[in-house]
Amino acid sequence: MKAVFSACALALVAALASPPAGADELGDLVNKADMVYRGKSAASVFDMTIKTRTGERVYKVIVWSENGENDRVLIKLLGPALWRGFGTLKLGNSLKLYDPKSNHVTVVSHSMLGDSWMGSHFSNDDLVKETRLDRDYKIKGVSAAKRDSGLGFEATFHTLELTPTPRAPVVWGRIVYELWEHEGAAVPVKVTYYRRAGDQKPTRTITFAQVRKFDGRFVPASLQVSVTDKPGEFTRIDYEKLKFDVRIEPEKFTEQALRH
Amino acid sequence: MAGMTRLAWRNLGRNRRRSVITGLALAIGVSLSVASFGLIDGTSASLLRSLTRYDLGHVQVHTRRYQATRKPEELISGYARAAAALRAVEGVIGASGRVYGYALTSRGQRSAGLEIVGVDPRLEPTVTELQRRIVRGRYLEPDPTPWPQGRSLSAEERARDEALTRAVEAGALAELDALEPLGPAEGGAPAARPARPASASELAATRELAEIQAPAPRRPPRVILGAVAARILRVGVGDVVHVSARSLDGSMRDADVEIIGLFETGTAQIDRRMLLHLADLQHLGGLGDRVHEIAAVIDDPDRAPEIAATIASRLGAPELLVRPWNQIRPDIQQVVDSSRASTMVMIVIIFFVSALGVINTMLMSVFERTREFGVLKAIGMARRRIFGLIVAEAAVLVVVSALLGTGLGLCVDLYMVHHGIDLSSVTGGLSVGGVGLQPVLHGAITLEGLLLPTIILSIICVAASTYPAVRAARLRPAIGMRET
Repeated sequence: MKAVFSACALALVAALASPPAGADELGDLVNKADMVYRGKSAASVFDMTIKTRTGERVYKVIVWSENGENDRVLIKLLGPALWRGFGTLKLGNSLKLYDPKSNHVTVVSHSMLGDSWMGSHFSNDDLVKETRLDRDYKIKGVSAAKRDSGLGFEATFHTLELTPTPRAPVVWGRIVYELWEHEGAAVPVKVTYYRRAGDQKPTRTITFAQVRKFDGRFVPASLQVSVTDKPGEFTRIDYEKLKFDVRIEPEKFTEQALRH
Repeated sequence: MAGMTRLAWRNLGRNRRRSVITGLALAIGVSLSVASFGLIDGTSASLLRSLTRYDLGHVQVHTRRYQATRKPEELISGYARAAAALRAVEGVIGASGRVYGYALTSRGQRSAGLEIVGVDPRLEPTVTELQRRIVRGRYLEPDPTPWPQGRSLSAEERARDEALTRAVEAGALAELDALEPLGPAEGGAPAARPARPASASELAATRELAEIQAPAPRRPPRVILGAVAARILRVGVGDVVHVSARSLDGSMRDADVEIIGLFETGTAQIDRRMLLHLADLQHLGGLGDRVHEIAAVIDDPDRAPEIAATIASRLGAPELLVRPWNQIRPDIQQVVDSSRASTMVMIVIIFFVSALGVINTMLMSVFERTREFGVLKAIGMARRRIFGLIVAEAAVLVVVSALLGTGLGLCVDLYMVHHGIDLSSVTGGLSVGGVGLQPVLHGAITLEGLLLPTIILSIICVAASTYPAVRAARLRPAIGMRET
């Protein structure tokens, strides 16, 4: 009798101490989807198409990244000639830009974090910030339904609403995250960012498309970011090759490699 | 009337000491008022001057959306024609176009985000007086930096560019393919496969193709830098600074610039700027011949709203917004207005105290002369005339003292105009609403400042003298004559 009672008490304490299992699962889903291009480490080659009011240009880009305690990322532009050799090195919270024409490395200061990266619709801050969505946001499931994924199997499509926890150091007031889940894999479909929680119009939208297997994982080969303020403009990334969990020599993440 | 005035003057002379003391008190009050008006007007004028002649101008033209958003793509096209139209408006002394940008500047380990402003060195001195605030070196040169325009690639060059990119890409893909997976033996010797080194011919071809599209300037563009910015970057005249500015297409453009002068205005916002030739910044930012702003200076700042309206109708472009300085910086207009109003309040208080002195003097005088007024009334002098006599005595006293006081105040004003009050020992620098003031305050002489104290004092004191005057007029002759 006594044993039964203490077992009940223990179960009660455990139930109170841990958050509802549902929220945890959703957090895992969002994290997995958000890390879809990462892994312990990753290397990729992609085209970045930037369409603005003044014109369109395409960068050929190679990215090396190592995710862990301190994220380390090296981005180099492979072409065209006007941009070849431009580089960006991220070590934890610091961001450096390299311009081969003047052979100059610029350390990005706080005031420049909001500026666009290389003229794209991504900001420097998008590269630096280390937001863990499940840590900084409260996640609420809006809908979940089984549908055809377009890849020959049915997947569970989730729509999740993320609102920042109090005092979380984030810029968005609300994020609507659409993703699908299949056998432990989570793939983002569309992410809508709202500056303030009550906004009707989103500030920006990232749409993912052309899910393919890269290195054994389901990954959208194309993603496009558009900003509501700038209709008709967008930045699109089309992956050509993605390698996950590869060994990258530490020399890749040095200023020497940035200038190389 | 002349007889009355003479009589009043003589009556004042009967107790000369009392009249002189009261008169002196009034005179000092007036001179102080004149002097404080002089100082306030002078300070306001120099505030306005700092605001308009170092930066703003009196009237500014922007596109409507630039004013709201300050987005760099909100540009005025047809600048040369618009500026010419501005200069043709009556009252406009000078007009000049400007381009604004933001740049990360660095030298060695030190860097700073600065506002960079492109100005036309030939026209800008007709609007702002920054050239007088050069503390080291010299002002901008009239000619822009020789800087060839880029062109887009020809079909053949584009094909070469694409082939080059494909070659580099193939190397990158091969590098990716050769990567080894993170094995359990992590921490062992890393895969030592160096990245494919760029060949010399590849580098040369890249440089050539880039130079066609975005040629480098023939020499570093020459700039002048604000003193605050120079302190942050620890640079001086002759130093070369790296500038990374955002161009209109959103990408960063880099250039090395040479500092040829330093300026200091006392306004922190301006002293954190870098100024360069309009054409150079237009080139760097890819703006063509367009500008963000046209600033004009006019002959009389008070006419700014009226002239702004004329300019707007002359330009006839609904997408352009023409604003006078007091609409751009209403806070400064408020500072000017409120300092004047507070001086006015102070003057009125001083004069009420003075009025008490006048009442006292006139009452004493009336009481002393009870018998005299009794006799005057008995021989048939009208009440009205006795009333008038007392008021006239007060008026003569006030006017004579006010003239004296105005003269005295004018002397103080003249001193302040020519020498000023040096506050540099008390304060390092003054600023109002972010607009820096010179630490030496100068006075200004205005007709209003000279006459207003006299007018206010006369009204208050003459009004105050009606009380003793009524008492004298109401005196009953029999009672008055009984007094000894």
